[in-house]
Amino acid sequence: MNTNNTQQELERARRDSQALSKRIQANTDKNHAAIRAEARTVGAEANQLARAIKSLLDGQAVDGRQHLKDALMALQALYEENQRLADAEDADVQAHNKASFAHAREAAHKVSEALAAKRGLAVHV
Amino acid sequence: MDNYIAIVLNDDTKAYQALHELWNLDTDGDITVHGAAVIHRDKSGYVDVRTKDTNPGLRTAIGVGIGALLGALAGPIGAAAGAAAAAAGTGAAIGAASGGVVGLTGDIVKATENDEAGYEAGFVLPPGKSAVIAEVTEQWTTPLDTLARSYDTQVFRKSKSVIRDNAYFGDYPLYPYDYQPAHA
Repeated sequence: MNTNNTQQELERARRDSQALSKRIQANTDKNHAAIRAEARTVGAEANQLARAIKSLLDGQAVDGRQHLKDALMALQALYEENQRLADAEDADVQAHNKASFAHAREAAHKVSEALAAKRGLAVHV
Repeated sequence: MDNYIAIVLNDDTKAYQALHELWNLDTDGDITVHGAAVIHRDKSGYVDVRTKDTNPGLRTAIGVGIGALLGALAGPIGAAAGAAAAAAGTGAAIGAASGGVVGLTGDIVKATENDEAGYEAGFVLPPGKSAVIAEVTEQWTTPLDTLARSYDTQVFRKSKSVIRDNAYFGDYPLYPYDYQPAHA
């Protein structure tokens, strides 16, 4: 995979992680049943995104790779949070959703940092 | 360069336009935006985050985080009375320190930055004004400076390296995507 392709794949991964965090944030306005119903779908999407990001690890410099590893950890936490959210009591649903949002935002942030590292390399080569 | 930046604008409409232009710079690859938000300070001095959130828990957390970030941008010169007000903030509003700046104590900034800040003009958000705040990576400052100049304003920058840790902000206060605030 050449540099341009890797950058495009990173941009796609960031768009996907941004979309995931936006979707979780939108859940804030929904009722508890709707949030729970979506939890397993969000978890599955987090796993799918993690697989895509994992495939990009080899094409990164050291700092970019570390950012992506951090993103993978955030996505793992997001998946686990949504497993708990799917079975949560009403009183706990918003707290789990808030935690999910924080994990999704962290993942998007880390992928963004990896993208910045890749763009920086593109400027300097 | 990884920087936190703030661009003060006359009103929300211009701030939203600038927010979208900021993300357009990212799309074009001129800079990389990691997160951004639009804030507004009302005539009474309270700052609120323009967001689609309606959940009070989320809003309070974001408000505290924004207070910390604004304190970091303002630097020790303006960082005095904002901490308690921000911590006690409810809903979308957080307290604003006197003198036109908002923030936490100087502890948020490294000791070396205290010296540096003595020579710098800090970020100031006057009553009635709005601002775009963001975390960005920029190879050069021209794209953002040009954006700000088109609004007849300037960019306040604070290197991320002199701010100890995002953990100071509690919940990270910036949105990782372009959004249309509810008050638009």
